[in-house]
Amino acid sequence: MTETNGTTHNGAAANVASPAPTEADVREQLRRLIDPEVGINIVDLGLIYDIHIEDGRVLVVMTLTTPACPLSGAFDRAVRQVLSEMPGVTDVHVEFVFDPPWSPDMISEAGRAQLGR
Amino acid sequence: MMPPNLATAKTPPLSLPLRFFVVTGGAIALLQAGLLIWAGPLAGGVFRSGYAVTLAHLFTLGLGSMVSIGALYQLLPVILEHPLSGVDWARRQFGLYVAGVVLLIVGFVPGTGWLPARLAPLKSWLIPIGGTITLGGAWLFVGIALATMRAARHSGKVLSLPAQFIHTALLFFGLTVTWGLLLALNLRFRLFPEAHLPLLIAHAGIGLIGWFGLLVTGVSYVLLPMFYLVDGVAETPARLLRSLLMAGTIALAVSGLLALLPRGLAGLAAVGAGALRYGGTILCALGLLAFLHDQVRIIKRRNRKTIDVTLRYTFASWAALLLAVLTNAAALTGLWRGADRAVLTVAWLGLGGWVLLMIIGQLYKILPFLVWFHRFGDKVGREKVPMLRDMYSPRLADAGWWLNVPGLLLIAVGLALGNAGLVRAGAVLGLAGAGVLIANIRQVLLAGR
Repeated sequence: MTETNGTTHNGAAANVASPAPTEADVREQLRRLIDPEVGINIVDLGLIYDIHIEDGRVLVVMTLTTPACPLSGAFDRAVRQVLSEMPGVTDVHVEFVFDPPWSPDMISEAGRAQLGR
Repeated sequence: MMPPNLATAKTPPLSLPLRFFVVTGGAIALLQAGLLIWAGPLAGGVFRSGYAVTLAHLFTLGLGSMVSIGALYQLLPVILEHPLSGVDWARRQFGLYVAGVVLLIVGFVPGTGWLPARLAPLKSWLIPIGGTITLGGAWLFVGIALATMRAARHSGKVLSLPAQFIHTALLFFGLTVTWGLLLALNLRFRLFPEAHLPLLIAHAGIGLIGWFGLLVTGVSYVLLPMFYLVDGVAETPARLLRSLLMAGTIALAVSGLLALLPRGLAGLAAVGAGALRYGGTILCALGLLAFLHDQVRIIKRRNRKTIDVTLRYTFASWAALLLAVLTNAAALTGLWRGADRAVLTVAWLGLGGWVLLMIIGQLYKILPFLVWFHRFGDKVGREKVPMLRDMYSPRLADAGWWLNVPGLLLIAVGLALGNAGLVRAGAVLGLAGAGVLIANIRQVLLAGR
């Protein structure tokens, strides 16, 4: 079963004229958000499952390390905040899913390097 | 449209767990001060002395249970994926519980010379009155926690294995405190004086293994994999050790109850109680050894390789638990002939070692997270926010480890040998360690202010 919590942000009207960002641009922007406990950004931590971009509207499908992680609200707001600052982004939608559940296998090689030997 | 904030919907306000943690910091300092002042009588080895009983309750109720209640108010919504039931009741529970514990502990302090003359005659009432209020506070907490579990189940959630550990521990907590009140009333009114000692031993066993043991083991299965990024933790060993600890605790409880049988059955009761006490202790020891084995296996598989202050405290707490089990085995098998000193040493290694070191280690994770979450959570992405490890001084935390762990060992050796000087030296280190912890707690609380 997939649980979702979708929210949108529509405060980026000033960015309409710019070209839409690519998925790589969005991922790079999301690397600004760092898990305060683990110390790894949410992309390398493997929390970002999918990114859809269409006409400046960005949908981020992400997860949390545990479904009841109290950081959901903070990450939800933060993702919308940092993406709405990008040129060409007109709307941001964040969807939390827990299927498949996050596991440490999803941490990238760059993330693993930060975890130590 | 304002986004839904799942965080505030599921977690209680910061002030709720925080008040328990602040009292805990003070209780740690008081405990070490008590060890320092009463080192002489404690090294004498009488585990039923007023000094030992006072410090045991300061630890179990004022420190261990205090921090556990605060942590569970925060942790239960995370484990159950369901909001806490009755946050307003939880606030009242704090006041009731603290008042009861303070009265009870003051009642346990030996003598009356330190009290104003007018109050001295009333002191003998402090234990039953404080015990009754503590009982109310403890059961109110148990009720809130069980109501939250019930609500989670009604919403379709299945209790995870750690939640099952906590559920059982909560019931044993209620039983321990109820049992304790029975003992308090027995002290005041001499209801069954001959059964007091067996009931006291059972009370200690239920509290140490049934409440703290099941709670610490169960919560370890949540926190360690979560903080150190371990996946695929097999549940079979945990289920097995939970069964062992539960069976052992029940055997210890029944062994105490047999002392209440009529005089005509005294012989039979003595044989049965002895068998149950030995059997229960062996089951508990096997459960705790299984826990240690499984936790070491889990931590070897961690993805987060850095050994931080929490993990160092965890390792030390495991070593203390192993020492407690081995010391108890030596006393039970007659290898060590010093029953009273053995009880005090095992109790110290179990509570002051395993439980306290685990608590201090986890405080370095839980407290910064709580404060960060409430103070910086809505600033992520908008401004630079600190990492959790930036919210306290790592050097102070390391210094605290080097004070607390040798201090614990010195006290344990002092109690085992009946050497007051070693107990006093350990308490000095422990007191300094408590000061360091309080300084770091203060730094966390002031972060971002």
